Amino acid sequence: SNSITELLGALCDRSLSGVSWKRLSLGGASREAFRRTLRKRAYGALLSKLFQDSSFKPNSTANALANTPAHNKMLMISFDLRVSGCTEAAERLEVLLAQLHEVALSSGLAELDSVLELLVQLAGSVPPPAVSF
Amino acid sequence: MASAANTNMNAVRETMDVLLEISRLLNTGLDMESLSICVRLCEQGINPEALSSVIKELRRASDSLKVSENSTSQG
Repeated sequence: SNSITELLGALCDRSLSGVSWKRLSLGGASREAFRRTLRKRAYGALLSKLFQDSSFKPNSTANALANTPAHNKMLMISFDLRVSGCTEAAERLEVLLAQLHEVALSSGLAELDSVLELLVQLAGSVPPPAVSF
Repeated sequence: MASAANTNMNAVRETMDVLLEISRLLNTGLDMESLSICVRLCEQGINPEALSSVIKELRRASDSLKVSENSTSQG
């Protein structure tokens, strides 16, 4: 499945993993109805961003940041990690970035910058994993 | 021919492994399956900022569903 519609559907389904429909059906929730709602919300988010892109005029700082290549944004994150004392994570990130550019060449991935930009956009969107002692 | 395909498959797998480790370091919340779908959507030309909005919206929706799941199980 490689069409945008199918891939978005797969992403919606993925976000429902771990939900107990048996329990929810007791409260009157239907899996199909929720899948439809989820798809509507996904397309709503996608389209609102597209329309915002055409009308939104960012200021010069936001514009400069928007035009910064994703790889450089990753290096900025690495710098922030170092400043906040996470040297090991910063170093690992830089090693992985170098490794990525080597392996991605032979993998045929054409939109590597877009994927890196997505990761930048989602950075810190979930709490870090709990440290176990 | 088969060897070239194998080399490419290995490169794709290695690229995905590196991307997943970067993703985990950055706390993006993506697992391998979601990341793989996202990579394919990016390859289809979907704007990454728009895609991140979609993912955040889907998380909000599934979180609210999980809250109602808990309230159903408690009620």
